[in-house]
Amino acid sequence: MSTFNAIGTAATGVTVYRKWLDAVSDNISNIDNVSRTSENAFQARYVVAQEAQDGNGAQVGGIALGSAEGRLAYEPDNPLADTEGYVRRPDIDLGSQMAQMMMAQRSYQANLSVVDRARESYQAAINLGKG
Amino acid sequence: MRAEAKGTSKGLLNKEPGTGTSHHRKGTATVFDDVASSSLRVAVAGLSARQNAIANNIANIETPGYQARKVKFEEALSSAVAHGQSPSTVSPSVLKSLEPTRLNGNNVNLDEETLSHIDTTMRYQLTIRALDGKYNSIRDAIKGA
Repeated sequence: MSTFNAIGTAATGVTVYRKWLDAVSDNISNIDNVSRTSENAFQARYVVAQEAQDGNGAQVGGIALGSAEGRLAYEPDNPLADTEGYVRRPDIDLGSQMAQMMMAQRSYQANLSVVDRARESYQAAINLGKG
Repeated sequence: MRAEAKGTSKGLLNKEPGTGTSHHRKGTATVFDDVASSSLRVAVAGLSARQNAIANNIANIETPGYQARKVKFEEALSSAVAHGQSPSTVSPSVLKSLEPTRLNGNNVNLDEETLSHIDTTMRYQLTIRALDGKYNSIRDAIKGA
């Protein structure tokens, strides 16, 4: 256990939620990707949070991928369209990505405010005995 | 023993005034091992453990299957003081919350954790201040001023 443990623990949370935010922004920026029907669609990234191995805080346990199949869209004018006029688009729901972004953002803020309050306590402890 | 525990906290813990700051040293105990000081040290350790638990709970607020951790030490500490046992035998215990979970098996409640963290921070500072007062009187005694 390190001296300023609470700050380190909250920092692991900050890292997890920052990665989650990164994943969400990556998903949203690729939401309109188009690929050939012979290729995989862009697969959404989902961060899997888990408890840290040493019991202090959280960590990213892995990345789950969304559907590679995506959904087929009929766009005969698209240069990537196959002979029947279909292209593949990623199966990402913008609403659910926005909801996830808010969850990640609020959790990020909650962890940062833990850092702030823990710092106050440690500051008091540092000043102990100064008279 | 109990009067000493109350008096030496300099009234900061809102105990009855007038018990004074008399130091009844007993046996081999040093000036740092009186009941008040060791209770305060146990309290600081317990509050620090609680802070870590809260930091851990908030870091895991979206972790599937995570159960919130709760730190208990107040009852054990007050019963040790009440029964005349040494407070330094008390150590904080960490329990998993049995509150109902959300769909992902997680039962961390952010409002509760935030309020508890603010409360813990204030208590920690109060305890540190009481300990500081204790050390200051020892320092005054050493300086003889």
